[in-house]
Amino acid sequence: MSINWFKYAAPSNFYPLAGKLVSWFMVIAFVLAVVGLYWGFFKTPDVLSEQKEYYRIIFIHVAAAWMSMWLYGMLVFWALVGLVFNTRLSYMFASAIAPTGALFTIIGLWTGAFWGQPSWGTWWDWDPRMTSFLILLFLYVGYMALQSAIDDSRRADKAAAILAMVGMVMVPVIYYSVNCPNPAECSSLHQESSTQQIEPNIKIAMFLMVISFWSYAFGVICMRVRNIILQREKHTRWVQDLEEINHG
Amino acid sequence: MGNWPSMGNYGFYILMTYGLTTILMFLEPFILKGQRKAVLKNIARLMRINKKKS
Repeated sequence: MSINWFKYAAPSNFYPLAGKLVSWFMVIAFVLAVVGLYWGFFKTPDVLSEQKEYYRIIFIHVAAAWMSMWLYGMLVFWALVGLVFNTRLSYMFASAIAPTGALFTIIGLWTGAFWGQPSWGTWWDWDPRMTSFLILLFLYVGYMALQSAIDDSRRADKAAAILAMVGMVMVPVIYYSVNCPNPAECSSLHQESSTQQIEPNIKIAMFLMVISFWSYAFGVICMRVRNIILQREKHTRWVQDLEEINHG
Repeated sequence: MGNWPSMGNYGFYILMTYGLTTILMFLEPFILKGQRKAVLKNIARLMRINKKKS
């Protein structure tokens, strides 16, 4: 049996599929979060090298920070597909990703502050990674603001897509901001990535939380895409024939 | 199940992290559900207006 993936490029075909996927993604996210948190709180040591109990913020902070970067990459990918192939659903996906990406960036910044205070003695520092991460939040907000500032949705999509593509330059900057070539010029409070040296149980919990966050993000994005499809296609026959409108 | 994990003197930081994250991540699907209801209502209203016009 072969699946015709291009069939799902049409909003009318993707809409029911997204509806089915939402509950699956949400259930997977919930189960993995419960298992991941159990693992993170009960199977891991109370102290991680110099860090005391507060290091457990890692299970949220790292997963949220990774998600915010990956989601930005996904946003740019769909924006690019939209620009190249002029497909409506790609732009809808890009628009649906932005608020969730912004949410994860806020969670990353917030949890970073609550990790920074006990470990570095400060809530905030203009450290290269924190600053570049704040710029990522501004990019998400800028993308959403630009899109809602233009009435014509096709023009808004194109303008916001270009902004998103320009902003893509920030993702490698964030990633490499801890690997400063000259520490005297750009020293960072963040340590270089050291997942290889972490205790295996901490790694397992982190892995479970990352997959859980991925699943949550997919579920929420599918929900938002469905709303955007309804909003933009409300004048079409297939939307007006939907059962939930006529019997809802 | 083992002992409850110790939070040492850092319960405030850990709870603020997990608390806000849980609230935000629980809220988002409910906001989207509400938004969906509003969109569906709006479409139904538009359809009624169009029917009356024709």
